[in-house]
Amino acid sequence: MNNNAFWIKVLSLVLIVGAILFYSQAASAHTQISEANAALEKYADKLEQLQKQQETYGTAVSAGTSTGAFTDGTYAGSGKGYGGQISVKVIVKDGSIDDIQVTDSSGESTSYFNSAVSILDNMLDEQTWDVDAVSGATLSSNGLRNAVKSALEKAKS
Amino acid sequence: MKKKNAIHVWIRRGIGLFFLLLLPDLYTSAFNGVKYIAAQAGSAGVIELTPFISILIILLAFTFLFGRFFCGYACAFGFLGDLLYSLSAFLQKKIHKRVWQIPDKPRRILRYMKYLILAVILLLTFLQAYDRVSRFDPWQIFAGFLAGDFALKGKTAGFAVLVLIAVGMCFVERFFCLFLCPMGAVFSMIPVLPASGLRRDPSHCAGKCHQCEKNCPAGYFRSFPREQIPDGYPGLDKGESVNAEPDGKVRDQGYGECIACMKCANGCPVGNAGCGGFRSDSGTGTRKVHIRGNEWYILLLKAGILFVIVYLLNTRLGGSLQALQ
Repeated sequence: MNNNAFWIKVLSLVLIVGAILFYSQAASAHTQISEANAALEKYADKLEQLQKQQETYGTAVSAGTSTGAFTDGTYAGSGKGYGGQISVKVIVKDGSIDDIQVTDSSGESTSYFNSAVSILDNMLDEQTWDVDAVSGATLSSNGLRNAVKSALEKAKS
Repeated sequence: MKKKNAIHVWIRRGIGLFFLLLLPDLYTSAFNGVKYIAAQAGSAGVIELTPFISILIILLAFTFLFGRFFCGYACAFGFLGDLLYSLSAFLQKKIHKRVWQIPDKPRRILRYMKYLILAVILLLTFLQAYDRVSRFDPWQIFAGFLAGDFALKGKTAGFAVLVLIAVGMCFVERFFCLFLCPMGAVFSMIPVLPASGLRRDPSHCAGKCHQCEKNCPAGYFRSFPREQIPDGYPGLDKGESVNAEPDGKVRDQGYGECIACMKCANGCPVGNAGCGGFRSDSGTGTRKVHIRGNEWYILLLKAGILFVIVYLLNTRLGGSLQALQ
């Protein structure tokens, strides 16, 4: 009896087992790569998160005041300016000061007040009421500072 | 002769019972290994050395060395099929005085069905869609019965398949193994060492005996009418028994379909059919050592080797086979 069938089967078996082993190698390399990618993505997300946090809190920290987090909402405040009370409306969104609007500045003298109003932008940048007053418009500046300060007292969580 | 046959029957039943009680889920474990490979390949997953794969490798290696001894002696399904068939044959003899035998032609055609079943199962597993047909799986139900769980709620489809298989096993010997078993399909494709392959030497046949052909459930041995066999073919003078194709070529059948049940060797009156290895015939007639493969010590040795290897593996892996826990 010839043994051709035996050797043909042996060859087929070797080829099939070889194919399975080869596939196994490729599959495990593939899994390693996807796992590495997933880990990288996770770290990238974490990094983004940390960067965002730093933007929000970073300026508060550098201003030296321990502002902490503000509660979202709209707060009214007032402070004594040059010719009476200056009223402001402070809008807190996402825990930070989003906008400051002057609701009443009738007692102020226009040109001085217009100079003082620029400190509102600084307040937004630095996320605090305690910014430098405009020299030459000190009373109006202080009025604005106190007004925003009193509003922010209410916004403190 | 009757006494000799009785021994063979007892050994086969005994080994079968031993494996049924101690290692009934060898079959399902190995086939789960096969499905695991297909599933991983289909989902671009890694193929790891799971306990199922280890069992599969052991059984395939064993088959390479010793032929489908697992099928013939250690498979729980095969064992129960044999019991069913013996019972059915006994009843048929009582009622009809004869046992119905499936004709050879349908048997030769139907045996290809197991390859189709294997292909379908592998394809479905590869496409991760096996769940659609898993309710027809009779082996889960069978394993449940073995574990004492006879609740059939939600398992009707698989139970129906199991019943049909049992009916088939009653009327065709080794019905499941020959026609339906996907693991058998895998085994039949594994090369078997020629020394372990069953064969007969036509020139040593005792006339028009045909016993091996009658006893073999797989129809592995065939004979042809005289006119189809070329002149000078060995054994022609003894009658028609030749293990050859009609064109006279003795093709190596690759031993695939043979389940190594040894019924051919058991029933051969002249000790012809069998593995035929380790023959030492000096020609001067001094000493002849035939190991046909159906000797009790050979069978126990094979069973022992299989059991020990599986048991060692099982302990090393912390007990993946339930019955051994």
